[in-house]
Amino acid sequence: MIELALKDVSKVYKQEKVTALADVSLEINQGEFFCLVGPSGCGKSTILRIIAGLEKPSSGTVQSPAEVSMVFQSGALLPWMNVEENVSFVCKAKGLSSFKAEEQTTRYLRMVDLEGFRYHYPRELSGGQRQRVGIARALAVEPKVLLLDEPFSALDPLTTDELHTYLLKIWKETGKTILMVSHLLEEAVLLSDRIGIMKKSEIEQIVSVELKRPRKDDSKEFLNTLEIVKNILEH
Amino acid sequence: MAVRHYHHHYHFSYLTSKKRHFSSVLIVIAVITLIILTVLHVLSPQQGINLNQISWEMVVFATFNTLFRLLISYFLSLVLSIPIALLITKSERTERFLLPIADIIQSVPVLAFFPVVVVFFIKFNAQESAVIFILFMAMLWNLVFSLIGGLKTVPRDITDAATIFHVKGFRKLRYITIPAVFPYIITGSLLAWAQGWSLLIVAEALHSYIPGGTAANDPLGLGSLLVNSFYNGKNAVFLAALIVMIVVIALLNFFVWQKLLHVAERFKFD
Repeated sequence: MIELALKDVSKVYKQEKVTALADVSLEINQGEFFCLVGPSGCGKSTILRIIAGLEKPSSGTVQSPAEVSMVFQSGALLPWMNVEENVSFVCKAKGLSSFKAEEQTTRYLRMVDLEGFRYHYPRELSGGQRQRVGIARALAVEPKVLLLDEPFSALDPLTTDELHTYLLKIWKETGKTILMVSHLLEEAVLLSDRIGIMKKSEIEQIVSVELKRPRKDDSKEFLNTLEIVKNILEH
Repeated sequence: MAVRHYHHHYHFSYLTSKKRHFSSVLIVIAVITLIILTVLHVLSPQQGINLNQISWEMVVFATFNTLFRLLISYFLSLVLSIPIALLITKSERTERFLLPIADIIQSVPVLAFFPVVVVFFIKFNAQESAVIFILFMAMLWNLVFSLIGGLKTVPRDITDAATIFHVKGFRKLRYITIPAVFPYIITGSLLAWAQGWSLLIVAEALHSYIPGGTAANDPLGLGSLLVNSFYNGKNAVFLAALIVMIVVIALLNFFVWQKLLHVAERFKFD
C-alpha cells in the first residue's frame, strides 16, 4: 500500500528565482525505509519540508497522512524543558491527557534507552542522546510517517553507528514508514529499502537495496551497491 | 499504581517543581512588592514638596513613590511590548510596514512629548499619570526592540518543530515563544530600567512645564527631591536623595537583574 505519493511536484522560490524542485514524482510504500541522497542544494530537504507541511508546493499534488512527524538535524529540543517535558509537551499539544502523555513518554524514552535521563536537561546530554530524545519525541505522537532530516550529520561516526542501530530497531518494532534525507551514501545503503538519488532538483534514479539485514558495511554486496549508487550520483 | 499516580501528579508538568517554585516565588515577590508600594504610595503625603520640612520619612516615601512609578510603568511596557513585538514580526509584510513606524516613534525623544503630556494630564489633575506615562514611553521601546531581536533569533528548527507538532496559539506563546525570548526580555528590561532612572529627574519635576509652577506642584519622588533640593540649595537633602538612589539601583542590580541574567542562561539555544 502506498503511504506517501508526490506527483509532478515543483517548488519555485519566486523572490530568489530558484527552482528547488522540478516535477518530482515519488511513491513510498507503507512500512518502507526510503532514503533521499544527493549533494546539498539538490532539493532533498525541500521534499521533506513539503511532506511535513512546512512548505507548499508551487505545483503538483502531495498525498500524505495527517500523522507525520520529524526528527531534526539540530535535535530542536527546547533548552528550558527537561527530557520528559520535551517529549510529553508534544503529546499534550496533540490533545492527550497528562496521564496518557506520560505513558507515551515513558514508552518511547524506554525505546531509546533514556528513561534514566528523564529529568536531565538537553544541555546535560551528549549529541547522540539529544538526537535519541528527538527520535522519542517524534515517535511519541504516533505518526504514520517519520521524516528524518540529516539527523546524524552533526554526530561523530561511533555515535552515528549507535543511532543507526537504534533507528533500525525502532523501525522493526513499530513498522513506521521512514523517509530520511542524508548526504552519506554508506548510511543510505546500510539503512534503506530504496534510495532516491537526487541531482539538480530532480530524482535521477531510484535504487532498490536488495541486501539482507543486518547489513555489513564491509561485505562485497554492500560495496557493490554503494558503487552503483556512487556511479549514478557522479555521472 | 498509587505510587505512580502520585508521581504523575507531582512531577508531571511542563515545569519541574523546582522551576515552578522559582517562578511562583518571583510572582509572589513582585505582587507583594507592588501591594506594599501601592499602600505606601497612598499613605504618602500628596500635597507636593515642601523643602522647608524635609524629614527622613519624606525621603523614604519619595523612594517608595519612585519605585512604585517605575514598577507600574515597567509592567505596563512589558505587557504591551509583547503583543507589539509579535505583531511587528508576524510576517515579512507587517515587518516592512510596521518596523519603520516603530523606529520613528522610538527615535523621537520621549521628552519632546512631555510638555503636551503634562498639560493633558494636569487638566485632569493627574500628575501621577503624567510621570508614569513618560516613564512608560521611555521603557516601552527598549523592550519592544529587544523582543524583536529575540524573536528573530529563534532557530528555524524550533519554529518548524512547533508547526509539525501542532503547537500553536497560547500554548506556543507560553511554552515556546516567551521562554525563547526570555534572555532578551531581561536585557531589554535592564535597558528600560536604566532609561527609567535617568528620565526620572525630568519626569518627576513637572513644575517646570506648568506656567508659574513651583516645587509644590511636583509629585514626591527621588527625582523631584533631587531637582528641587539642588535648586534650593538644600545640599543635605540632595545628598541623601542621591545616595538613596544609588543604593536602590545597586540593590536592584544585585538582587534582581544579576539573578535574572543568570536564570536567562538556561533559556539560551546552543
